[in-house]
Amino acid sequence: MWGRNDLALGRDPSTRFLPGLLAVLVYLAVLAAIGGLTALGFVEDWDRRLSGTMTVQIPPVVGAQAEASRETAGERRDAVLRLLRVTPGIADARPLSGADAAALLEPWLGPELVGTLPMPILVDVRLSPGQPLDRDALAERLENAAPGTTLDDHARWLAEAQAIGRSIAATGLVVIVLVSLAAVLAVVFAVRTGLGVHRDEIEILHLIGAPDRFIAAQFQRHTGRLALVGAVIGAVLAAATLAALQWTAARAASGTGPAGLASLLSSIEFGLRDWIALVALPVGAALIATVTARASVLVALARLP
Amino acid sequence: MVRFENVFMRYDGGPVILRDVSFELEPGSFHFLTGGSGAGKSTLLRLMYLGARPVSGRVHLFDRDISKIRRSERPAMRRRVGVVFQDFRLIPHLSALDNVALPLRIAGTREALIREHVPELLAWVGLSGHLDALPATLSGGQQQRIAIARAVIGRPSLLLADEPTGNVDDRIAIRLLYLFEELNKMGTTVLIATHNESLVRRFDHPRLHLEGARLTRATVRGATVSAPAGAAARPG
Ligand SMILES: Nc1ncnc2c1ncn2[C@@H]1O[C@H](COP(=O)(O)OP(=O)(O)O)[C@@H](O)[C@H]1O
Ligand SMILES: [Mg+2]
Repeated sequence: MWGRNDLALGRDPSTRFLPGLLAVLVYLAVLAAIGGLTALGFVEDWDRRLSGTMTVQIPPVVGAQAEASRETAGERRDAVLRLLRVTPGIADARPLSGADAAALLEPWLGPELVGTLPMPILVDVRLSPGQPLDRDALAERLENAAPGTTLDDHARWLAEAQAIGRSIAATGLVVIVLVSLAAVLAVVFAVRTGLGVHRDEIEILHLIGAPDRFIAAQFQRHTGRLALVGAVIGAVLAAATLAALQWTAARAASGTGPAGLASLLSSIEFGLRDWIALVALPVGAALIATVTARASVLVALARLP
Repeated sequence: MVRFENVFMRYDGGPVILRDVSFELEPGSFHFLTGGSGAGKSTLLRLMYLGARPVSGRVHLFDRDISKIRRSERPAMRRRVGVVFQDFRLIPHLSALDNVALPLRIAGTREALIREHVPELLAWVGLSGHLDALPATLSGGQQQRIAIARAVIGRPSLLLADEPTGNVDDRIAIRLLYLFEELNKMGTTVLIATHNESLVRRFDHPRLHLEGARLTRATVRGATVSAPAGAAARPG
């Protein structure tokens, strides 16, 4: 029955544009979806890695007291660590080694500068989940233990990054909604035209007892099939584009350090959610086309006398 | 089966085509409908297959007043009525077989049964060699026989045939009439609009005659049965 069509809709010029249009729309939708999912993935990743942690930064002692600074720096660090370890709500405090800190800064400052600069001491702090921490009191006591020491819970940075990530994801969603709307309008237009072209045959079908749903089935089968063909082509092209993008990023990343943008891109893994989007979007597009075709035929025929 | 009560019919702004027409077709009956060209035969049939509504009066089909039939009920009622349209109304891009198969496909008949019965019927009407032919490649008489096959394939309760032998020679016309009689014997009520007088005379069935927008009921030999005085039916 898949191939049967009593209205010979396959010869209609009015539906010939559908596969191409659906291919373009699904292509855009897949890119938008994967882009949005990737942004969401970053947000979740940062959230998981950074929530429940803080960084305490003990600035180096410079200038007149530089001579005595090595000793002082050690003392300052120990004082801070002692304080942190007895503070309720803190599970663990671990100073980053000088090498760790240097590695973090090297991509931004270069190896020469990092070797010569007085380095701040960074302490990685893990919070106990479920136990509240009085941030303001801690900040004040840290200032007493080692003047200039700052407390960063990444909250601001994380909030900004999440806001950006979420707007990217929301934009992806808007693109998908608009693309679906375009698909619906295109199908409605094609079906209306088709109903006009086949008015005489539809009248005959009605006269020999065909219910509206018999006629709708013809349109919905034809439209759904065209849409599915176009949608699959669009999804395949989108997947190819993403693969090419990742390959390019991977090549670029192999040249630079680990912190480069290219390495960020190439580190994106094609996860389960992306696969679902890649399959669900073309199938969804074909479904939307099918349902829209059916509904617009039924609505149009119901208006006949 | 079919009952007309004081039916008046006219098309928008046109002259009255049916004036105060009343009659009844009993289940299992076989009637001819005669009358000259333009007398309103096709219009009368159109009212019966729900292709038009009377201006006034009542038309009952299967004991239902057609003015009270909802749009959603129409398909099921139409499937009980087989119609041979005067202009055939075949679907041009469907083969003879697919055209005839349409009522079965609409009714959801299994494809295997369709493949069995449709060629059989097409053979009966003399089109066994043209199963895959498109209507446009066939003669008027051949198209007419496709239309007849399509009308009878679903074993309708009521068969309405509008000039079904207008394009065939007498030998085939008689054969087609036998087909309608076969169907009638199996219980189908038959009404055949025709102006083929020799055919009407050859088969012994009562006739309804349209003239001057009025309908008279007559026997084959022309004797009026239930018509106004002096309105004895004469061949149109
Ligand atoms: N759809 C229509 N619109 C307007 N006038 C029509 C229509 N169909 C038929 N007529 C007119 O109604 C009259 C009867 O036509 P018809 O029922 O076809 O007669 P018959 O079948 O007996 O030849 C004719 O004068 C014809 O012109
Ligand atoms: Mg006529």
